[in-house]
Amino acid sequence: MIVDWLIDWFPTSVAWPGLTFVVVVILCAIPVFVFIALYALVAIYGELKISSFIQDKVGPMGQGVGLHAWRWGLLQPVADALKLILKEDIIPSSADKKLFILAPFIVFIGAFIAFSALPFSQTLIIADMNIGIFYILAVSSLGVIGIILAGWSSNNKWSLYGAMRSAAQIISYEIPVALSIVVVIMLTGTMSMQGIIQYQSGLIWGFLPNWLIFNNPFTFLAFIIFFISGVAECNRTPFDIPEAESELVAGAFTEYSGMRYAFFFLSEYANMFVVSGVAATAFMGGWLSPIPGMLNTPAWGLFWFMSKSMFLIFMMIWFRWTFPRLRVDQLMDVCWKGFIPISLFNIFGVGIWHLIVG
Amino acid sequence: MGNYLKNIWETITTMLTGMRVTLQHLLSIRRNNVTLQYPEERWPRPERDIGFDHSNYNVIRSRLHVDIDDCIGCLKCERACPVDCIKIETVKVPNRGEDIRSIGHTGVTANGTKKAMVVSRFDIDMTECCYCNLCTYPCPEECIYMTGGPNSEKHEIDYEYSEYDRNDLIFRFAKKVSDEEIESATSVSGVEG
Amino acid sequence: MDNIAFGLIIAITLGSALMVVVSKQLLYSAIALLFTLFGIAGLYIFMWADFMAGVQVVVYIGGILVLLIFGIMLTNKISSVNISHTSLQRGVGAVVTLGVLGFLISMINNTSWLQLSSVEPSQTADSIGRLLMMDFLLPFEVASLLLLGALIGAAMLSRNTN
Repeated sequence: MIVDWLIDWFPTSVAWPGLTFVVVVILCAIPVFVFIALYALVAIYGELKISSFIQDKVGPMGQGVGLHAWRWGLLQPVADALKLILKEDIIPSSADKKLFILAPFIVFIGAFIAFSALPFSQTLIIADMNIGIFYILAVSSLGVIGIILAGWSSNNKWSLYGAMRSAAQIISYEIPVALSIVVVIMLTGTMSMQGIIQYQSGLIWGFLPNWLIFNNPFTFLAFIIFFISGVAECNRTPFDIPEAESELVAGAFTEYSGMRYAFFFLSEYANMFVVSGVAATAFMGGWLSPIPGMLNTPAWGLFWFMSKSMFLIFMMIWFRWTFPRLRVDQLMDVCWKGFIPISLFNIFGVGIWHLIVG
Repeated sequence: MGNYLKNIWETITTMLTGMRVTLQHLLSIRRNNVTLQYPEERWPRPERDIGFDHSNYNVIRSRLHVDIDDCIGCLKCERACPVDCIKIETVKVPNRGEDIRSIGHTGVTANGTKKAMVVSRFDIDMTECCYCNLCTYPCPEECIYMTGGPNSEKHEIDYEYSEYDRNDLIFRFAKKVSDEEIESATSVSGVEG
Repeated sequence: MDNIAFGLIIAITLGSALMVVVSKQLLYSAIALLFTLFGIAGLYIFMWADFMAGVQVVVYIGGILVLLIFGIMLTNKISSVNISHTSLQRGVGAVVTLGVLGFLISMINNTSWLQLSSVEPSQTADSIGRLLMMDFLLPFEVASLLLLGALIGAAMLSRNTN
């Protein structure tokens, strides 16, 4: 959408149309980057506070002098970010320098380009592609290559073990994610993000909004499987065996410091948002308001989408501070013996339901 | 198959139980909070029963305090200190027992002793202090003492004295006046040495 | 716009493909392959085959390339960085390569190419799905059977015999 507008907005008489394309891409990329950075600050603050509250602590409350100050430690993430930026950039002497430098960018790009298909509101979507949801699934598989590279190029056994675990985990959990999305595509008959949202407008059962999460028991199950597998794809606790602090120091990121580590950190939070955004779009009506037919202007749409995504991010943080980490074999068991059979059953069930009810 | 479904059911219920517990803690943070924002808040000090009256308990090891108006600059505490954490410098006054208001010097102590010295520096480094209490016994004016305990009416107890900077743990009891001011105040009448 | 982007994608594809062949380190080749596969996904987009581009990224980058890197890492000592490969039998190789090149060129010249319309089709995945599920259902199912067999075989091989 925004891409189309911008291309239309530029005068067509420009001598070099390729330039327009490049400028439009940059104009789209900068706000996304700023959004990710700002959202990461909010999410990190939320993570700090929620984790503390769950443990009966109060979290950062800096009130003294210095940057971690202000009320309720609100500037703590800013101070953390500044610290990461100012830290020395260390590349281990035995590391493979080129790949070591390349890895964080591949991971970040994988998270970054997924944002171009997220529908923030009716009009606020960078490009409403025909294959929107499939595109997000596709590019989110890019991050795993970056993690493997990071682990291998660090030339450190912990890093390599972390990378191997991460690769095995992400490849496995992509399957239930994809199978759950198949359920959505079966019902909506489209892969465009806006199309999926439009399918969900209106009421169901007379009083509930027609979100897929309420549509039938199979889509509800698909939502749960999608969300949990999404958490696993973000490498977050309880699925954080790739970085398992107590076993592998920090897994694939052990040797990274400063800005390069910050990129990994940023992409983890960006990935969280992508998973939450897709879950909110595919199962919770995206920018649709919870009361059908009310408060559905584009500005409210942005509000609904953000609140749904933020709620799911809160769920992820809640998971992280509730569940202990899974062992490697348990992780694979859950995926191959739990999620994948249930997902396949789901596809079958939704087909039957669609035949009988819809 | 039955076992498989039972496992799934158990997984879900136990997970929900765990999540309920953490959510309860999250929501009742105001009631259950265990963190004390230390410099701003302090725990109430428990009333303690040491078996006999506080005033009889004269060796309380808290923090050294000096009532500088009573100090005559005799250096007995400095000599008594086994770790040399007390540093005293004095300047002779022209007239014994006379107030020198410009530098806040009182001429007579609470015991009625006429002071011959202006104490220009009286520093106690509490990071070095070993709390042996040896400096308080020789003081003829009883102006150096541990706070609290039997001395609570002179100075309330202070056992934390936490500071952001280590240098702030050097307690400077002398009046905050510059050396030049002291020199001019003590040499006005022309009496030297 | 098209020419510049097309040239860029071609440059990335061919350049990284060259890297795959020339690079002495196996892992560098694998990483160069990442860009080659991405370039091919870009070429699919130029043919209005956005779904195919997505499949290319999911299957080749997210699946096969990761397994490839996995294989490189697992079959070598974990600690050795110098996983390298060299060219053997250059003479025979050159003859075979040139033969394949000539064959491909003659094939490109002799094929009557389909001219695609330059308008974006409204549905892409839709028609693919219809073709797979209606016209070519049998080959599709046979392929899935083959994959299922491979899956079961892999599970059997990796199974603990005790």
